[in-house]
Amino acid sequence: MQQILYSPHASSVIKAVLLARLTDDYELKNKDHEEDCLFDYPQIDADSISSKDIYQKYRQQFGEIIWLKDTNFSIFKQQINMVFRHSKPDKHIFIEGVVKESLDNSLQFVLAKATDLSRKFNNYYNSVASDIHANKGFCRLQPVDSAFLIGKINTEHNTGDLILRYFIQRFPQYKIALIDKRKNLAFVFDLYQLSITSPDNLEKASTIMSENDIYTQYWHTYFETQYIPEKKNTKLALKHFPKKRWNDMFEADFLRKHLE
Amino acid sequence: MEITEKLKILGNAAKYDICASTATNKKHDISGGIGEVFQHTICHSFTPDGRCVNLLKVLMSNECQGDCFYCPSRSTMDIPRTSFTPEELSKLFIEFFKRNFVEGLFLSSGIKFNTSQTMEDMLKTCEIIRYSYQYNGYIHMKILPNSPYSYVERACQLANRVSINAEVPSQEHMGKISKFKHWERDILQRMDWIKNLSDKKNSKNISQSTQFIVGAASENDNSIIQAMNRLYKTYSLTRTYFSTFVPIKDTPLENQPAAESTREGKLYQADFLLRIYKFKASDFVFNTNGNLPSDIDVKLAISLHNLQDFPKEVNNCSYSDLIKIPGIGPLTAQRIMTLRKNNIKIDSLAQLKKIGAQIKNAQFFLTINGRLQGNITFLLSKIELERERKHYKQLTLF
Repeated sequence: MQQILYSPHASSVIKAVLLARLTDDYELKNKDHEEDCLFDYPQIDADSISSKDIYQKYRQQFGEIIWLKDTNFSIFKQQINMVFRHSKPDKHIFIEGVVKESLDNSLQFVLAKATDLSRKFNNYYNSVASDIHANKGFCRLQPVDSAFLIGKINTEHNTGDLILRYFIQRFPQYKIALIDKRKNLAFVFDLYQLSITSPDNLEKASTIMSENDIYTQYWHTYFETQYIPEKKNTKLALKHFPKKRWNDMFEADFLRKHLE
Repeated sequence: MEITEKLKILGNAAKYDICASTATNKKHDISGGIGEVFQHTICHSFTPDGRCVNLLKVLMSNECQGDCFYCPSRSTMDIPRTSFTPEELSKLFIEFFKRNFVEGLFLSSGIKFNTSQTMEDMLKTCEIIRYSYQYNGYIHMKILPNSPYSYVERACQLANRVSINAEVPSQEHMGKISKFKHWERDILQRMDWIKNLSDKKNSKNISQSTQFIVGAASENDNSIIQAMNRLYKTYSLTRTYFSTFVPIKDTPLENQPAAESTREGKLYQADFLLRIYKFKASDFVFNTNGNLPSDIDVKLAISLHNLQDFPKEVNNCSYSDLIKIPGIGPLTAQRIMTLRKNNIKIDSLAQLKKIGAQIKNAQFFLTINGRLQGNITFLLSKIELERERKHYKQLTLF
């Protein structure tokens, strides 16, 4: 038996699945799990072979893959890249599975979520996308000086760097640090490069600044004014803003007071 | 007055204004500036009423010369009055934005001395935010009724979205909530200017929305839907929002009952059916009082009223027919069309459910490969039973 290794990105796993089709006896393996193997099998690294060569051989043996030229192909690749960031290890089963399904049926079949596997893949994609989306909105930044912002995020999946990139684009002239409490990591951009460090000192600085910040007090005042008691809707509030997203936000205390 | 006090008063006065969307196509590209806009909305918090908080939504001033009968800021009300200066408000907003509390600014105002002066203050605030703080993000600015053309034009240049509240569906209804405002002249005229300005270079892609106060002028849903349809067609509005009338003490409407809370939700459904599903205003079904039925889904009510158009064959009917089926939305319809293009047919209700259809209602209005999937009589009796059940009361022993 042979093992085909792939890296955690879309083009690599697609190449690996195509290679597997061209090879009879094979097993797909993500490079992250390379050491988990009990036995030494001969290995092929999908990244070491050019896409062009693989596609050409595949075309000769199985015919054209029409959806490679489809406009939806880039959406599919983006979804795969996002699912690679999911925290559960079984993501690889779904990723490999949907690539195989798109070869067997069509890409549209997968994107339309017509099978159980593609639905699970889509659920994983949605989970990662909503993790990023929620952190973009619920992260609170604290200006430490005129050009340095520190924020706290709470990511479920491996998405810290993507959230940082979003804030870099939003505040192009600022040094930015995002502390992920759950993972005990800090994602830092210092105007030149992005790095991942320990959050200890940054967290302390941010908490002290936040406690004395007049604009944070103004925000609390403003937030309280926006509630319309006649329209209280506990179910809707918790649906959009579940407890797992509350962190140590001021809003959590306010919601607790009015909802519990 | 302290900023905290001003925020309490002016934030509270603006909370009934509705607009949670920050999606826009209009971009401001100040090099090195902060902020950006997207075609989707990001929520930064939620209040216990379930509403998204993503904008700093305040009044520039709650001092007002207006007489709107429902309004807590009307001129005759004995309430604390205050105003932000453009410098105060712009600084407050930018500091909120830097802390990621908000996604953008929603700026409205009472008419302090006169419309022009208030509009000037609002425009100055936006100018400071755009040019002094180099802000490229989202601004939604209210246009005050009777605003001069030059101010409307400037607002369209500075903001990403502008809006002027229609409030009611006609001039006749306007007479029931204000003595001074003229629906056609003071409001629709401005909507027309905005529509024409959206083609001009500096205000290209400006979007406009509007808001109705539901139940303040004894209007019914039918009249609101007819007016909304007219506004969409004539002035190319992006969205319509609805705010349920709540009587405020010491206003002329304090004894008028609050509008039914379900009306707002039903009107939003009708709005989506008009805009996205391309239903016609004449398609809607109303109760004898002219309101949408409160006990069943708006789309389901339309379908039940037009049973002669059903069932539709899911594997060969058009996209526009598919989205008319209750339980099938644009996304599911699009998926069905994509599968069909790839010669993949739907062969069961289970498959239809997998791609996103709500088969609970959909099954009664479609066929799959010629086979009926549900008996419409069963659905009708179920609805009837639900209606009857509402009249029953649980008996008590004592």
